[in-house]
Order: sequence, then structure tokens, then C-alpha cells
Amino acid sequence: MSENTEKKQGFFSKLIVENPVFGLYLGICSALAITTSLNNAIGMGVAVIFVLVLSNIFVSLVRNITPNDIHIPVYIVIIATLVTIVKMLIQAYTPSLYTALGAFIDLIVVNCIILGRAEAFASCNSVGASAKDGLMMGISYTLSILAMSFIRQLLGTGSLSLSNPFNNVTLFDVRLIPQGFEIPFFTTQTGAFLTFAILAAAVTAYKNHLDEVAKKGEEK
Amino acid sequence: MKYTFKPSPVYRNSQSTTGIMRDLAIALIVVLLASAIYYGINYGMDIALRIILMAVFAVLAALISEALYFKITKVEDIKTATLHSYGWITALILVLITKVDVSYYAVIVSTIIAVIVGKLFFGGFGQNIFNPAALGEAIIMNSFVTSANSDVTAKVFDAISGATPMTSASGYGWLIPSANFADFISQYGGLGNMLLGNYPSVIGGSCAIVIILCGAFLIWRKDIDWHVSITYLVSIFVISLIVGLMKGAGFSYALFNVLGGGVLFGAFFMITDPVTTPLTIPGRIIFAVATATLTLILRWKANLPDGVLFSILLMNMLTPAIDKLINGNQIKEADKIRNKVLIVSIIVILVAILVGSTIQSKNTGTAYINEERVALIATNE
Repeated sequence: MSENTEKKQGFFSKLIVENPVFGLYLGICSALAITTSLNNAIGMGVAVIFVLVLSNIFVSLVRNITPNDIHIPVYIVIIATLVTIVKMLIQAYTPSLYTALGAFIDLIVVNCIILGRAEAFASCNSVGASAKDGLMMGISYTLSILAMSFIRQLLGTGSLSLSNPFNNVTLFDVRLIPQGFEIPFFTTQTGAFLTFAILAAAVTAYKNHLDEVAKKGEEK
Repeated sequence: MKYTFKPSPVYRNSQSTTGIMRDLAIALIVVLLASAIYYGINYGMDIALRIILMAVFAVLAALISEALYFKITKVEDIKTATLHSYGWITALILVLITKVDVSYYAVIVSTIIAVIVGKLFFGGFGQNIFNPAALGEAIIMNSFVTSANSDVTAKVFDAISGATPMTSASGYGWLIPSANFADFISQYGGLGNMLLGNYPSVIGGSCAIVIILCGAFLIWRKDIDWHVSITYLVSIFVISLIVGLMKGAGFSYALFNVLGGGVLFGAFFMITDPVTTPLTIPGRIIFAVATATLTLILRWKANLPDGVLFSILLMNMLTPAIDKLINGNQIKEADKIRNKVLIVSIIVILVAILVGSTIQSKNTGTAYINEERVALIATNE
């Protein structure tokens, strides 16, 4: 795609085309594992946004003084520190979320999106641009896992619910599919893979459609 | 133009895909009607009607979802594409391997998932990795067990205190000593009754004799490959006979293993699926022996009532590997291929016997008979 068409794309299509989960297939492990409810997805998304923005900022700050031979260990130390902070905060203030997410909070360290953005973007860009990139990527990730957990929770349990993780007060709980007509299969891992594959296919179809439009534009 | 599909050598081929599928549909409908008659006589007309309705709903769901899929993917001739995708055959098989108490909704949803995800996503008829009907039933077993219609469950499976022969054998750890076997089998009217299929099970598992006759019809019409069916049945019989003799159960235990549950139906209607099994006859023999082994291992060791379904699904994954093992000129390298088949089969059977030698009866008492059931039969009579 040329520079021009890229600029023409709005915020929304940028989110889809440069989506880390369905476009680049990064960070799939947590996306498959924790997307059983909207609560988990939002909690995970916020944690990832926090780590991603701060790690991008710090990596960008130290990019000029990091020796090239040991840049990966340096990034990992930064990311691991941030993840430990997030984990302790989640454990202290939202214990229900902590039990729901379990080991996947620790596994943010090895989430490919974070190391990938540090390596590919933050290590060669200014602090401001890196922070913005981290925010964008974090929001795309959050929206992706929200989409997955929306489908899985709706089809798997028949109702959508969200509760305040700080005091466990239910914000809303709507039953959209009557009792007995839910498909519990979607809350299992098989359902996760199926949902992921279908959404990834949809994103690819959209990308192909954009490419075709761009091609036609060039021909004209 | 008539295209035909058969394992090589191809020159002695006489059946077209349409012909095979027509015969298969006839056989399946015969089995379905036989089951409906059996359930109708034993449990009332509403259960018979339920079976017919399940089949109708499943077939309609398969046809409609396929037609919609073809419309979305912009296939030009939707009618031909739908009829030649044979989703309705999948739907019929799926109904026959389901229990009668499963809700209509579960049957419809799993048919749609089986047809769309299990077959069309892979590229349609002829491209699927897994047996779509088995995939659908796996979804029902994993997802819709709680949605079963409790009235029907009570009527069919709890009428004389519960269990099917399979679940009660599973409760005893699939090991019934020959001294107690007569007691055990008498609850279900003896082995003769099991051959007639006169006991509750999955819908298509109920009429063993009808399934055998339909299988014979399909073999006579050269629609299915008899090598697979016969190898599968013989392997199950031989392995369970050896293990039974080692463990103090006998000849009738081996017969019980062959006649019970979905083994016969699987042998004639599912393991013979030309799409998801190896291409060559030697490959199919390996496939059948390995599936028999897995069926028995799953019965003995897994927490499942029966192992036929999952053994077929697991072996479907190994089909490409078996094809690769048997790859080559089937006539020139016949000796080499025969040796491969022998070696693999012997290893697989040894594994089965080794696993079988570790099984232990889970029966806590000494009797292999359900007191409640016997009391209820007595009062019923």
C-alpha cells in the first residue's frame, strides 16, 4: 500500500489491519486462555496496556545506552519489573481478577506483543512515538480479546455480565440466549480456537478487501 | 462424465460416488427405521417419533447450513453443490450415534458445527480431516450432556434402573470374570439379545443384526471396503479375547466387546469413510487395527462409556502418516508393504495387550449384577 492510502485509513481500520492478535498473530496464548468472560478480557487488556506503554517508554529511554549484544536481557528485565508491579497491584486491589487470570498475569512477560514492540519500534524511535505506539497496540489487543470474550461468553453461557473488579458489584448481567440454548462448547479451549480462527479469517478478508480497493485505485 | 474414487489399483472399479452415497443413505435409513421400531415397541410411540424428528431436523439443518454456506461463498449452482456435499449423510450418521435423550437443539447445533467447521472449512466433501459425524457427536458429548431431555432419559435409560450395558461395564472397569459374566449379561437378556440389539444404547447401536445385514449389503454392493470393517471387528475380538483370557474373563467377554456399544455401527458406517481413512488397502488395515486398539484402550482406561468415537477421531489425525508409511508402488513393493503392515499391527496389538494386562475390576462387591435393576425387572414382569 502506498503512503497515501495508509493515511486515508481511519483509526478503526488501522486497529484492524495492524491488529497484533488477528493480524500479526502475537500474544495468542493469553488471548485463547483468558477470554472466557468480559471481566477477564478487560482486566487483562488494562494490564497489557499498562505494561506495553511503560515498557515502550523505558526501552525508548535506554535505547542509546543499551549495548546491542545484551539488548534482549535488558528489555526482559524492564518488562519483568513492570509485570511484577502490575501483578502486585492486581493482587492487592482486585483479588477476584487475580484468581481469575492466575498464571496469565505472570505470562505477560513473555507476551510477544510487548517484546515485539520493544524490539521493532521502541528501540529505534523517540519516547513520545513509542508511548503512542504502545497505547495503540495495547488498545488493539484489548479490543481483540474483548471481541473474542464477547462471542465466547455470549454463546457459551448465554448471558453477558460485567462486574466491578474492585468490590465485585455486578454492573450488568443480561441473559440474551434463553436457558438451555447456550452452547457450552464455546467456553472450552476448542471454542477458543474456533472463535479465534473465525475472527482471524474475518480480519484477513477485510485486509484483502482493502488491498483490492488500493489496487483498483492505483490502476485508475 | 463419471468420476470414481477407490483405492488403487483403480481399474476394477465399478461404483460412482453418487451410487455409493445412495446405497449408504438407504442402509442408514433402514438402520434408523429399525431403531425407531425398536424404541417404539419398547418405550412408546413418542420415543419412535422423537428419533424420526431428530433425523429430520438434523438433515434439514445440514442441508440449510450448507446451502447458506455456498450462497455466502458465492458458489454458482447451490442446489448441485449442496446435494453433492453429502451433509445429510453426516446428519443421519450423527443421529444414529447419538443417544435418544439428547435435545433437538443439541442435535441441530452439533450438526451445523460438524458440517460447517468439520467439513466445509476444510474445503468441502473429500477434503475433511476428521469424520464430521464423529466430530459432531464429540461436541454433543463434551457440551450438551446436561441439556438432555430428562423425561426421555427417565423413560429409556432409567426405566429399569439406568445403565446401558456399556456404562455398567464401564462401571466395573470393563472386566467381568467369566464366572460372573452370565449374571452380568442376563440383566440385558443375554448375548443373544445383544445380537438382536434388544437393549438401550446409542440410537444406531440398538439393532446389531440390522447393522450387520446393512453392512453386508454395502459390502456386496462394493460401497465399503470389507478389509477395514472385518479387520476392525476381528482385532477387537482377538485383543479382548487374549486380555480376557489373561484376566479370567472368557470367550463371551470378547463377544460382548464386539457386540456392545457402537463397535458394529462404527465398523460398517464410520471407519469405512473413504475420505478420512488411508487410501490404500494395507494402510486401511493398519488403520483398522490401530483403531481397534485405541477403542479398547479408551474403554479400559478412559472415563468414557465407549471408545469407538474418539478412537476413530484420533486415528483420523494419523491417516496422512499411515499413507506416507505405505507410500509407493502397491504391486511392485507388495512384500515390503506387507512386512510394514505386519510389523505395525503386531506392535499395536502388543501395546493393547500390555495395557490390557494392567486393568483391574472396579467392582467393590462380588456380584456383577445391579440389585435394583433385577428387582425392577421382577416387579415389571
